[in-house]
Amino acid sequence: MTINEPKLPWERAVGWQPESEGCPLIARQLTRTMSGQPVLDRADLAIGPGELVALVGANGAGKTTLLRCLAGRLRPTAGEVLWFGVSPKGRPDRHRLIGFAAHESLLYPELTAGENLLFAARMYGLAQPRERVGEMLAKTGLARLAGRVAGRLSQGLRQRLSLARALVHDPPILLLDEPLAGLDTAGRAWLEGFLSELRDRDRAVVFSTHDDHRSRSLADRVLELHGGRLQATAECAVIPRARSA
Amino acid sequence: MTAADTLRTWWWLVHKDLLRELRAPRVWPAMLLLALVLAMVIELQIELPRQQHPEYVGGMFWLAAFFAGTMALDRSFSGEHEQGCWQGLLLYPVGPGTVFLAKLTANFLAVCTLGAVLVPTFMLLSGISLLTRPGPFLVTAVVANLGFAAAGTLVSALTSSLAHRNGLLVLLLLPLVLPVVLGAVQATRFLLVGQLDGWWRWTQLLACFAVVFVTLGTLVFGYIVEE
Repeated sequence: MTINEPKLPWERAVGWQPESEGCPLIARQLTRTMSGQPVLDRADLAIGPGELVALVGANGAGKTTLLRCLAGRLRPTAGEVLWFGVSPKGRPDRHRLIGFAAHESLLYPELTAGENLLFAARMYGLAQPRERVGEMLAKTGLARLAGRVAGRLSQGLRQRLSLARALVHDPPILLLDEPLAGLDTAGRAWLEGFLSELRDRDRAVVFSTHDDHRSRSLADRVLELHGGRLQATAECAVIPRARSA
Repeated sequence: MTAADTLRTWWWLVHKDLLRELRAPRVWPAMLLLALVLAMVIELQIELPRQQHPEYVGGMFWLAAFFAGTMALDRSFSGEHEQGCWQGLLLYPVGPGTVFLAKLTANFLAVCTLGAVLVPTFMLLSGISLLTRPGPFLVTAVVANLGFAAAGTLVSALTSSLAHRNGLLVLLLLPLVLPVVLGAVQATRFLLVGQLDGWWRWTQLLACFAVVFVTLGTLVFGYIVEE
């Protein structure tokens, strides 16, 4: 296997080459206004592979708006978002590159944990959805709860299931809105371990949080949002690492 | 994405909607109950000579079907907004046209089920068989329900994310589906009085309406749900 040969499913899907493309996630002058007021004001950022970035800020600072713009769900008023150098606009097939876990669970409360994941796996067109669902349930410690409807899971377990849903297709970019909210100490420890593992697997991860102290210990970089403006930004510092054959 | 992939995705979207309704019925029982109440009130309140029954029974049938069907259309997207599921759905690598067609299918199945309950009810209450010519009646029912479900799915998507949406769907939908209501009523009336050329004219109008709204919905759905 040569170094350029696609290794992961999404690399094959988008024709990604490890050293030929830049950052997985780039935002240029991203602006979003609502009723004439800027919720997000000319945000520039670049996230490299294997980089764990925390987004901190007070309520209403624009964290969720920024994450939703980065996920391609919210159309920016100005500026652009690039996933591996290409705009996701009008390209639903490129949504395979993104895993998104929102503040809400995005889970169907009437479906079981297994059915929710299976539905997601089928939407991403995975070749062996049942196998992948079993794998994700085991990884998130939910295997014995596969048959329980999502609406009856505790908040912490729903959070895990929501994360499993976002990761079911093994995306290279992961966007998490307040993933630490509502988790107990054990849940937080588990999530932190999980995020570190994703970083080790070269995933670009952006997560929003109120917990400034904890985010600084966990993330490679912390971006602060104040009134829609990013206070601490840096260019993508991480050069894509070459994978061994 | 190949046509087979799109077809598979469409099916799993429809399957998900039907499974959710089966697990926690929130639309179908209320819709069917409303239809039965409407059918009984209409039939028991209107007293016309027996020979005039074929003239009006089609109109009453479609009136009850469309009123009760509006309930299914109104709620078809509301369930998606719980737990942010709608956001999740639109983040999948699925074309918006496929999502529209899946929602349309689920709504079409709902209004067809409604029709299947209302036909024997009206036949029982009025003593007039709506199925004297079952083939043509079925064609009318399919194209009328398809046009109604397509226009309704589109308007429901448009109003579902609005904060003050109460009653807005009815306000927008009923004028829009007036050609379907008229077409279905007239086609059924001509069918029941045995004038097949009249039936065919109105059924063609219904088919045109269905084609226009299915195409329009598939094409513009992405713009409607974009934020």
